[in-house]
Amino acid sequence: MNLHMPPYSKAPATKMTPKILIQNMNFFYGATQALFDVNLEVPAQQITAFIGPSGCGKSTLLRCLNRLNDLVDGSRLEGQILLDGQDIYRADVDVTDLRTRVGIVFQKVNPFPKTIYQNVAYGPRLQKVNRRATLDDIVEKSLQGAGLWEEVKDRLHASALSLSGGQQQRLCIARALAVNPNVLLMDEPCSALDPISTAKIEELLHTLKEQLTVVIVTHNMQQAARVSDYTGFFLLGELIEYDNTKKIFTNPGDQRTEDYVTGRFG
Amino acid sequence: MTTFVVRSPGPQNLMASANHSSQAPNIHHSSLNPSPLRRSGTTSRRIRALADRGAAVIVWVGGLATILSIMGIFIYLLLEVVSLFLHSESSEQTSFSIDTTGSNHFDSLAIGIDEYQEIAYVLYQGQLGFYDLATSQLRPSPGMVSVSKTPITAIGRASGRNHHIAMGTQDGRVLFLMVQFRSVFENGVRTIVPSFSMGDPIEIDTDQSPITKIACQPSDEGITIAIVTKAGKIWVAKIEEAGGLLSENETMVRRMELHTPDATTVSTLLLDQLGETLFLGTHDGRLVHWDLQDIENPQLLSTTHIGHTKDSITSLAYLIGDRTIILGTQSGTVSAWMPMHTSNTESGTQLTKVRDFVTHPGAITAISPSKRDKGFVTADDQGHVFLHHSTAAQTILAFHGYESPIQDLVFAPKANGLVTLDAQQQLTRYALDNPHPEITMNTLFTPVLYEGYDQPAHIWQSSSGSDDFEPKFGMWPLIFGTLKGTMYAMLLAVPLAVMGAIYTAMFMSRELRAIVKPVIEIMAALPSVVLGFLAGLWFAPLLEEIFPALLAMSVTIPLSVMAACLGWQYVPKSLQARQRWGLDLVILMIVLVGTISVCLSSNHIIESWWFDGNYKEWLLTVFGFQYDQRNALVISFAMGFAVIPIIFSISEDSLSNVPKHLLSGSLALGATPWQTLTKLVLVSASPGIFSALMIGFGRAVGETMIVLMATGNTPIMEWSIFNGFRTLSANIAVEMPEAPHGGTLYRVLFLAGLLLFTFTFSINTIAEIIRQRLRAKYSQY
Ligand SMILES: Nc1ncnc2c1ncn2[C@@H]1O[C@H](COP(=O)(O)OP(=O)(O)O)[C@@H](O)[C@H]1O
Ligand SMILES: [Mg+2]
Repeated sequence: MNLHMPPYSKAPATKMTPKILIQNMNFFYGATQALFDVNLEVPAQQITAFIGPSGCGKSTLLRCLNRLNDLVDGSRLEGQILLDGQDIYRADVDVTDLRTRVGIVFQKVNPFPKTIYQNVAYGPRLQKVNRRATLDDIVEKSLQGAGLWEEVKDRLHASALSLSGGQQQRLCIARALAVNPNVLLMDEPCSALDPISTAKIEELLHTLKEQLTVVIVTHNMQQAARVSDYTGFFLLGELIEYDNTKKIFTNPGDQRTEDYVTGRFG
Repeated sequence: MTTFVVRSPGPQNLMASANHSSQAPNIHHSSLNPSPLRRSGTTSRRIRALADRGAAVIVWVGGLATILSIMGIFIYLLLEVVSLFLHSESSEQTSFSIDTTGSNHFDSLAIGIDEYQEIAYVLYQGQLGFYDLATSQLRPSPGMVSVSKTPITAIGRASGRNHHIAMGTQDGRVLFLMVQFRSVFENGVRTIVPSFSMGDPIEIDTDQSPITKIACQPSDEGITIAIVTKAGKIWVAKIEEAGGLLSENETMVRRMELHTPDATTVSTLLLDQLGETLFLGTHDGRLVHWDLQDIENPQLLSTTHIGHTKDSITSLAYLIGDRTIILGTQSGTVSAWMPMHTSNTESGTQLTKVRDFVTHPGAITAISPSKRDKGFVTADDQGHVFLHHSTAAQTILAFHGYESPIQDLVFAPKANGLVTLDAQQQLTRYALDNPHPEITMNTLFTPVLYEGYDQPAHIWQSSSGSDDFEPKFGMWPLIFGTLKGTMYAMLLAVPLAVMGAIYTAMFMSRELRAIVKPVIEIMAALPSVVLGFLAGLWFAPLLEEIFPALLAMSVTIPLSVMAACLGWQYVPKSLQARQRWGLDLVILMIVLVGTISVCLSSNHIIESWWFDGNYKEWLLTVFGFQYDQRNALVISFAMGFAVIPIIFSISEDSLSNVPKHLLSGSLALGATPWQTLTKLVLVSASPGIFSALMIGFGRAVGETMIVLMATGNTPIMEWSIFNGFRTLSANIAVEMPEAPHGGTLYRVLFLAGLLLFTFTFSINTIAEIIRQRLRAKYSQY
């Protein structure tokens, strides 16, 4: 089947150490295969973007990175995903611990029906952090990290649902940051947001990059070009091309990539 | 593309939508309807408008009808109940002077009335006259009859349905008079025909001293009389005759003189219906109690002082049933006395004052008990007549007659009227409308001291075989029973249903869930009469048999399940994932079935080990629990079975409706499924689970057939799970056939219905309010 072995399936040459290493990975939902022999390296403290048309498996790949796909009945993964050199699919891996190290922000904005404070404190509390002062501290830091602190500091105990859509998404980012992950996965985090909110989140990505590795899935080519350092292009479950963002957008190595980024299909 | 906008329906809305569609129909359709459809646009718009209006009307009418019918039911219930508390009243009062020709100078007299209150008789100064109450005239036949040549010095009226009167004469003899009223139907018209008969004079005391007090009571064995003579003697006697009481046959008189109290102090006499108990009231406030079972050997049982003051006892009467004595005094007090258990006296009982009624302004001259219930009327020497009820401890009505001392008074046989005769020979009849004298808020909802009890108690006992029964309408045993049944049912159902729902929604595989959920929901389709039938006739005896095993299960099942869970951790991961529906479930089933069958098969062994061979005896001796076959445990299973599907189904829905992206959000933060459940899902689903519980609760409260058939319907107030109870709903079902329309029981059953209605209505309302609050707090988007 794999007639077009992607020419740039290995990570581009970089001085950075790979944070995540995906090797020969196939993923199945029951009998249907969603990802075909994916190989890539996600460099640490960089922003990596996945682009590609709908249904090509971007979200699936993202969800494999913190094993959220485990929850899907009958799903199956072949190959390896290494986080800091450790195979995250080994039987003895503590999934909950993995998920605190690899946080995720979803396309669908999903604050819990609780207060702003409770939303952010949710993760730390799961890890039995219950001291009020510590929690207050984490909440403040996380909200600051997500650029939301100034806007909500006076109403921490208001319902999270009273925030605007963009604020809710930044709350979700703060919530993910609160457990202090070193990878943050973002699945089309701005697709439901207005341009101003989108701009705020993009701005945020640059500061986040200083502390963690970000993988972002986006539909928006400009966004990928603006924010990411590396870009992977997916098509029908295959990684077609993975390279420097600049290279992908200015001089792609594959015709299909070029067609896609120039808007000829997808 | 027809959309029904179901707003809160109301006439304005109806108008608005009609106007809207007819005046500006194009506004929102033109952009939606592409040109090919435009041709038929007008017609379809009209149809749409009609459909819209039709739907609105149907919704509006339906909603209004529902609200109106619920309000109608409520008001109807309320009206039936309110009658219980409406004030009794006297609707008419007729009064006329009686003929007093041919009088002698003794004021002993007696009056009586037939059960239809058409004819009254007056025995006055040795003459008996029958008066037509409608015309206030002396009846021509038998007219005024002289019943004694010698002056009558004392008159005693026997209690009971018949009009037996004993007269004591100036020469120390006793005369018996019996008045009868016969109903004669002629051409469908009822006429009352009075008649009377006299017995031969009987001499009790040979010294011919005038009789000053007399009491008499006929019974199967003869007539018991008690007399006090002017010469200062008290005699009791039993007069037996071979033939009828008043026949010419030879009479046998057995008599005995009593020496306590001093005859000169005796103010009034009282005999019970059997003629075996005599009370003598004295001028110095003593009540002397004699046992006359053996007339030749009377026993002095007790002397009771009625109070601190040396108040004269002026009148005594037994209420129907001969358990309560009503005592009236010179100072106008009226009180009820009952024999109560005590260790102070030899007989083990002591006459004790249990109630006071409203005090008369003057001395009590007459007391007449009702022949229907525990009511009675009292009269005083200033013309007042009061109507009281003993159980209800209330004075219901007061009449302020003609300020002339009332000399005699009788309660009409049906307790719907009364007649008095005062010192000015005014015969006055009062008609009474007093349908529910025994009902007050207190008799319904507070403990009442009933006859034969030593303590005030909440009791429900609406009827019994005998006429002189005191109905007990305490509602608390029923309310208690309702709560008890509901509580035990919920105790079993809530954990099972909610946990089941949690497991099904959160942890079960999708395929298995698709089977389990409908199966449990089908349980709800089982008619409760079938459940009740099975519970009462099959399950209750079975449970009685296997109770020790059940008790053992309550310990062994949790233990074995925990053991299985521990063991599960050692099953290799590769094996764990094998089974399609989850190997864990299969193992759990095997463990459960195994544990249950082991417990069942060792039922007898458990009983002999644990309970010394007989668990019922063991329960009784160790905990003091009486084991009834139909008990709250049976109900908790049977009614649990009825409410589990509702609670399960609604809880499961609300749990599985918690958005998937919230679950992922929680899991992605490193929460375990269990943490996600407890910290997020349960909170989000709480409005749904709460309404599930409330709907289950409402169902259990109103459930009738199961409790009716499987509880034994004993209205007792004990929390023990091993005995039965009676619920409000079952009570209505049990007693409805015995409740005559419009009667007290009938209305009290409506009260039970009203309570039930209010109960479920307020539960549902509160539940809805809380659910709305919860939903506002934890609403999803
Ligand atoms: N839970 C699932 N079960 C089965 N198939 C799925 C599931 N999620 C996604 N898929 C399928 O996997 C493919 C990739 O989906 P996804 O990763 O969501 O694509 P993208 O995020 O790139 O739009 C699609 O064909 C989709 O239908
Ligand atoms: Mg996607």
